[in-house]
Amino acid sequence: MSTQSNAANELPLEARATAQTFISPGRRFYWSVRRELWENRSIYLAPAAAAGFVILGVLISVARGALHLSITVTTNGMTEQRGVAAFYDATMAAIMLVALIVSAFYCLSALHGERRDRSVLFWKSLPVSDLTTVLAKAVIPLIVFPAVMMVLIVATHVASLVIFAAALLAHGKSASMAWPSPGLPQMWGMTLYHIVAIHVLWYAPLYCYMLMVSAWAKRAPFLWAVLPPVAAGIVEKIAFGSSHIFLLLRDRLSGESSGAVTTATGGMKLDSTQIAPLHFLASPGLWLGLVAAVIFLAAAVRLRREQAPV
Amino acid sequence: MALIEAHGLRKRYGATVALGGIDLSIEEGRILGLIGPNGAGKTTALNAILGLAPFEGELRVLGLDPWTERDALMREVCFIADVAILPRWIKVSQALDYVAGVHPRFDRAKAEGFLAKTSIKRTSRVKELSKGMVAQLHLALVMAIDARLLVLDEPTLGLDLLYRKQFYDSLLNDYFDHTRTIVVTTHQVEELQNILTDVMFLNGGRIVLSHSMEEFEARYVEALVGPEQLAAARALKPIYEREVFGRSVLLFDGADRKQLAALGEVRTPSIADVFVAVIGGENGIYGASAKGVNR
Repeated sequence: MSTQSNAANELPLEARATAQTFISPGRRFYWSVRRELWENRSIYLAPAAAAGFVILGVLISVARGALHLSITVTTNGMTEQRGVAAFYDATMAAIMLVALIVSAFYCLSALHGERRDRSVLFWKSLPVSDLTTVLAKAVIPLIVFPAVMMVLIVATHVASLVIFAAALLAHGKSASMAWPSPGLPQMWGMTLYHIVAIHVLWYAPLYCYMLMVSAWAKRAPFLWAVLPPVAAGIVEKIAFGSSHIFLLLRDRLSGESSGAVTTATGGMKLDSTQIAPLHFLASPGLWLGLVAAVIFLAAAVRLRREQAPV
Repeated sequence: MALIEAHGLRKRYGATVALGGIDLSIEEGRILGLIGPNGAGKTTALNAILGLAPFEGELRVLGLDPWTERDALMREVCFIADVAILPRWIKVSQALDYVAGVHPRFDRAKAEGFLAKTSIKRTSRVKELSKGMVAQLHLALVMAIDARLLVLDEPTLGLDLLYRKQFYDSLLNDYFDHTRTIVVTTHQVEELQNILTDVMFLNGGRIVLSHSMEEFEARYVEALVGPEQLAAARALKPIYEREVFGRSVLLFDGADRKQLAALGEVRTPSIADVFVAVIGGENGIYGASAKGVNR
């Protein structure tokens, strides 16, 4: 032990109380988010792996000499070949899908895993409030995942562009064939809008609901998250013959009523005509969803305080 | 005001009474051993003190209500709730970084100093450490926190004798000073006896014994008597009697030592002996061996 710490031990209590360093709530929050990233490396590794596979696919296709970038799209029973833009779209969708799945699993285990391995008793022995902890966990799906998605999409697009352009040049063709229409900056702008509108704001109640279930469930948080809404929908269907619950769930997942995506063709697509922030901001679903998200988070904070390790 | 002050502290789980309205007052600078059989309410009491569970009755820890003022309390209080509850994925260096990042009273250099005495590597993850090393790591983190109250709930359960001894030695030599207070529960009472300043027995959610170690040593006395002196010794109303190698060992609560010394060898009993006498008698577990005792 150093002589300095010996001296600190001998200080009277009052002096010791003032000798402590000040730690702001912001710093506690920062360390809480960092510890989530230490624990859950899949937050960035899984989407990065998806991006890696896209680039691997691109390299193989270039090596095979397949320079005709096209993707087969089935629309209303008709098969249609779309050009280079479709490739960039598909890349984006792949990264988003992986990030969505990982983020759902993250939310469902965030407040359950720490109770299952009893490490919650260690976290609770430190001066970090339940509110700080739950907010740090909510930041992962609401800010970290969207940021990871955006960065990886841009990086994958740029890497693919470079590979395609180089391959085209090597074959004596114009490198401009690798450039999509609309161009990448427009595409990224639309992606950013889509991520903020749908993945953050529209899906916020879903993530917060999953966090709440993970704080509550003693086991199998996935089943507890999925089965009650489905059961409620079935009961409604049988008892009243209506499907309000199923429609509500479908709309929340598809983002149909948000006005931020086109779902007319069957899948969620990005379309520049859909960038209508006023329409989106005016949709009641957005605001009701955000209110629900806050309620779920408040419930998660309360549950973390009260639930014992399982 | 005492560091921990409780009046009528009670807790129920459904129909089960875990704590039946206990009163306690723990002064600063004490090392209290909270001893009791399984299900006695020790962990329930500690959870209430640490603000981990709501409770009924009155309870102040450092003048704060642990349930409603938990965030403020945790700056002054630290605890080890169990062995090996450190997250398995965390690296030793990350654990140091994190605690330094969130705890205003954590002295990182001190924690590094404690770790330097062990064979724990900074780059190891908790899951790669043995159970004893996890306990060493946890203790190093906790001892580097300048807390006014340290609560240890079975901190050495499942550790081998060497780790247990080292655990309590470092606690006493490197951590304890007279401005700190430690509350510890354990089943390994023998190893704790000489570090405690106070002892409290809990059974069935009630306090059945509460003494400072001075009081304990003055009050309880054990006499080893041969068969010829047994009747005379029994007349002094022992609370417990057992046989060791053909001699009877009688435990007395508040008997005259001089009178006993005339009958046989007199010594201070261990906490474990008194525990068996008091709690075993109450719960009827050792009823058979205690037969023939005048009550």
